[in-house]
Amino acid sequence: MIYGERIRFRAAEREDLPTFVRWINDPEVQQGIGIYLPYSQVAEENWFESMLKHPLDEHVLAIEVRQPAANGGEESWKLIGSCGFSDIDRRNRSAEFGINIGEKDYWNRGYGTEAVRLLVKYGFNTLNLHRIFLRVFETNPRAVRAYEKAGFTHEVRYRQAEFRNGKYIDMLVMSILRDEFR
Amino acid sequence: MIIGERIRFRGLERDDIPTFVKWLNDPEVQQGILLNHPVSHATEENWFDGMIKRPPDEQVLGIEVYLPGEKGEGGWKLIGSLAFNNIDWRNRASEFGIMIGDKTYWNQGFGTEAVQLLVKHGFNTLNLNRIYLHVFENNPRAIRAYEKAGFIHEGRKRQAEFKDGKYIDVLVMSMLREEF
Repeated sequence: MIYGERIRFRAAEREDLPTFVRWINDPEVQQGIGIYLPYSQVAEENWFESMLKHPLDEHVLAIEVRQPAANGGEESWKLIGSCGFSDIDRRNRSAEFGINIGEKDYWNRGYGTEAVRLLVKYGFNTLNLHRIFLRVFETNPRAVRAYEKAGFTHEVRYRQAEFRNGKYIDMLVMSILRDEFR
Repeated sequence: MIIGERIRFRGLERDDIPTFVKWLNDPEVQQGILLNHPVSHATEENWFDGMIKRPPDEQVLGIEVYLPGEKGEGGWKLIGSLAFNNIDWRNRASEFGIMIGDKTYWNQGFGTEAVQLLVKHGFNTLNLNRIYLHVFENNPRAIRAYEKAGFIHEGRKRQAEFKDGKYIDVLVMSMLREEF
């Protein structure tokens, strides 16, 4: 488990899959991710099984938010999204990551920024990476702003790289280097 | 066969493998490509067997230059290779890679001409909308060839490659159909 201030990362479990399927079929969520087709539970199960065959450092993490204890009960954790590194390049010490806050009630409250910061800290301080980068659609200003707040720098604009909603849009690349991380 | 002015593209043959092994093991050639380990004939044969299983549009093409013979009997000489990779058909976008492996043909405009011919094939035959490439920042000859062919700088992936003891940037350049 990786703990932040308001959030934590735990390994994703098979039981999370129905929640993931609900998120990635949400048209608003799909605007920000690589998926553009309806996605079935069985497709998601296949994705999960192949994900487990990847190196452990690339397994998907579930993002959970701390729910304060009420009425003498215990605190609990609510699943709001997922993130993870992909294609870690060990020789160049470089990795891409992806993140999705699927629970829309938790948008615009800084959880994405906090999750990015926590993932970056894990990448530099535990995985010993030198460079962490991401790709984001130009049509997703909320995400771009979260990455900027987390300390990422704009470095590439892949022009007309993605066809969405009847037109070509640009894909941005942003990165943070180890010596920029505080 | 794809025919240009001074050059043509043909499919690679198994007989070309020794030529590629020679090129790929040349330290000067290696500076510009994604290879940093000595390559054997056995490895290159395995690479070839994998390559010919790719979709036809992504198979590697040999770049040949026409050499006029002294008595009119000219012939074609293999000087390098190029290919589209991971063509994204929904987005009509593709990356490509190119290598002029025969150094005696460097600095004579053959790289630029090959890029121009590949781009024409990509837009006019494959119906692509976007063609892009990655190039190391310390490869000015290649960058200049791409610029001359009409490619536009899109950005730099900072410190993305470790080479000769330090991190270097990788540049991204592209051409759109409307710019061709």
